[in-house]
Parts: sequence; structure tokens; C-alpha cells
Amino acid sequence: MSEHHVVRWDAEAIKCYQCGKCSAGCPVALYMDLLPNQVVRLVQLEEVDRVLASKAIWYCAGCQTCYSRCPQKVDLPHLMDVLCEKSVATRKYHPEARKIVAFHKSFLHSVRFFGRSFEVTMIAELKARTLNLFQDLWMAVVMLFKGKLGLFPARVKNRKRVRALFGKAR
Amino acid sequence: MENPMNKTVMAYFPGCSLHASANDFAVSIDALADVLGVELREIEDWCCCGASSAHKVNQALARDLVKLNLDSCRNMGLDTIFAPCAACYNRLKVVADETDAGINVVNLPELVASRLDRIVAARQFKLDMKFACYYGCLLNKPAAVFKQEFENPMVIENVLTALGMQSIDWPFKSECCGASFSLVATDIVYKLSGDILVDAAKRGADAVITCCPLCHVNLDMRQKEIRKRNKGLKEMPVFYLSEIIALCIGVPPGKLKLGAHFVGMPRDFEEKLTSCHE
Repeated sequence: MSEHHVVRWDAEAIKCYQCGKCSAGCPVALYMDLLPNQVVRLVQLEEVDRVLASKAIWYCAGCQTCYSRCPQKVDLPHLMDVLCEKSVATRKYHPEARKIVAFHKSFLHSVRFFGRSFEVTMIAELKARTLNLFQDLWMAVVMLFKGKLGLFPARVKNRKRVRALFGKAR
Repeated sequence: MENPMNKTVMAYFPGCSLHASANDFAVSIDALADVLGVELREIEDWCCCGASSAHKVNQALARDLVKLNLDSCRNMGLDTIFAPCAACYNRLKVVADETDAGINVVNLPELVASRLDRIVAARQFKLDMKFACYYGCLLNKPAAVFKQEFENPMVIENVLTALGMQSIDWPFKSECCGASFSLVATDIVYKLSGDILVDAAKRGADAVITCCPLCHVNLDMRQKEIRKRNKGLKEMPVFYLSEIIALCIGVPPGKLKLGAHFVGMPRDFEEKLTSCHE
């Protein structure tokens, strides 16, 4: 993680005066173990480890509602993202987030390999990672019949260019 | 920029979905290019924008993937990108803004609204159905970047009104559908998308209009399960905005991939498609 982000997430959190508007309008708050405003408060109190191990950061859907309504313009979705990245890097993520992390990794692996996402390999990898072999199988069959499931990946010509970004970002 | 036939030239970023599971969306976009008077030039060798995954686990990568596409657009000598997928649109627009790229990114409702007079002039039919216009999260938010109405956007409703069609007034138009939890925390999608469909039905909508491939997956493909969990909820067809407009300007239903939707068209669909010049 670059210095830029460390500066930015502290700067985001410090603006918050705990009005709670983010939590009031959050569509996924009922699935979270910490409410969005509590996440910000813990960051302000430098209790970051507790946040990194929480379910809340992973259940943020990135819908941007809190950020759009926030009277202090705290970019909470971005703060959640940065915390997620740190929680993966330090392997501190909540056990229930395992499937969500597996999804993001499978998605990005297909992008790294083909330059574009490819549903077939992405879902195969996800199923292997989560051992959830039968979920949505009927759906894949219907999609195939409806011509919605491409069996061949759409590849980028200059894949090296895309792969280089993955190397750089690590 | 205009081409020799006086059409505005725009860079086109279809995104991964439109080349795969949302190929029905792509077909309807192609059907509109002529009437909109635009030439869409696909960004050369575009790559995935990183969607909702890259920015969740790798900030630098999320930015770099988008920058690669913005650079490709600039190399084509173009300064406007049309991105029909709401998720791609959001990522491209946010990064273009962050990096002062000087590139304008437009979404489908914006493009349609800016060329509404052409569509009105070309219209032949209207659909006698009541629509729930569903914007989802990413077309209008975050407000700090997009600087437009996000609680009660009316762009799509105004387009429908201009084309002589009806829409409902409802509070769920920019609620979240559950997004990429579709694959890994499906219960969230059943709850959130279920609430959206139930409210649309309660307020008398016959169909939902969306502009986002992921919203379409959640509202259409997942609808069978949602109906099991919401007894009494009837089948609710989910259209892309571009499909509705294509039907209005006389593209035959058979030329659009409406059959690829999981929820079928209502039985009297062809009767509801009536001429608007009576």
C-alpha cells in the first residue's frame, strides 16, 4: 500500500463527527458486525486491528450512498476498500469474509490471465476455492442455452501490458 | 469530433459483461447507434476496468487498469467515452476525475437524454406498460464526483414521458441490488433485490428498466428464487433502457435478444406494443 493511501484514510476518518447518517442509510448494515460509523470511530481511535478483523469492511457493497449523503464528505467506501486491502495483506480478515476474498481473487486472476474477466474460469476457480460446487449450476446451464455464457475467453491482444500492472501493484 | 457523415464520434467501452453475459444489452446498444447519430469506436484493445474487485483488494491496480483504457482513448484522438455498463462507467468516471484526465465519460441515460429529439422524431411505437425506472447505485453516486441528483434522479422517467410512456413514482430507484454479492453472499441479493421488486410491484409497475448488467443479473436471473421468498410477487420482466428505446423506434423484437432474459415477456407483449401515430 502506498504512502498516499495511509495519509488519505486518516484524513478521511478525522473529518467524521459521528452523526450516524451513514449507518442509517446503509443497505447492508444489518449484515455487519460493526456499523459504518463505528468503523470510522475505531479508525479515529487507532484501533485499526479490530476493524481489519471485522466482517463489516467486507460487507460494504460500495453503493456510495453514505459518501453521497455525508455532511462531512467522508469517503467511507474508499476507507472500507483501503481497510480490506490491508486486511488481506496482513491476512487478518474475518473467517466469514473468506468467500468474498476468494471471489475478488478469482475475478482478478481471470483479468490477469486474459486482460478481461472470463466467467468460466473465474467461477471454476471460485468453486474450487470455496468447495461450493453445486450452487447456481442450473443457472449456468440456462445461461448456456440462452447464449449468455461465452465458452471462449475474450482476450486482450497486448496481455503483457495488463500483466505488468499486476506485477507493479504487488 | 464528427465523422464525414456528421455523426459524433465517441470512444466506446463495452466492458467484459457486454461481451459475455450481457450480450443482450450490447445488441440493443448497437441497434441505437444510428438513431442517436453517433459513431461508436471501440477503444482499441481495451482491458477490464477492474470492476468491483480491483478497488476492494488492490487500490493501485484499480487505478492503473482504468488509466490504461483512458490512455488508449486519448491515443485514438477522442475525448469522450460512452460506457453503457454502470460499473465500468463509475470506475472510468471516478478515475478520470481523480487524475484530471480531461476525458468525459457518459452513461446510457445521459447519452439518450442529450439526443432525445432525434429519438422522438424517429419513434413509431410505445409500450403500454407502467415502468419502474431503476438506476441502482453507480450511475449517480458518489455525489462529490458526479455532482447530480442522486436521491431522486428523473432522467429515465423524463425520456419515457417524452416517448409517451408511463413510469411509477417510487423510493427504491437508487437502492442497492446487492451487487457482486450475487455469487458469494446470495442471501443479501435475495433480500435487497427482493425489496426492490416487491415495492415496484406494489406501486403498480409492470416491468423494471435498468442500465446495469449486474443489476440485471440480480433482478432478472435471481428473480425465480426471489419470488419463492416473496409469495405473491408476480413475474416482473426487467428490460435494459436501450431495449425499450429500440422497440420504440421500430426495431423488431426478434432482432433484440429479449429471449435471453430469464423472466419472459408477458403473453400479451406484442399487443402492448402499439403505434404512437394514431
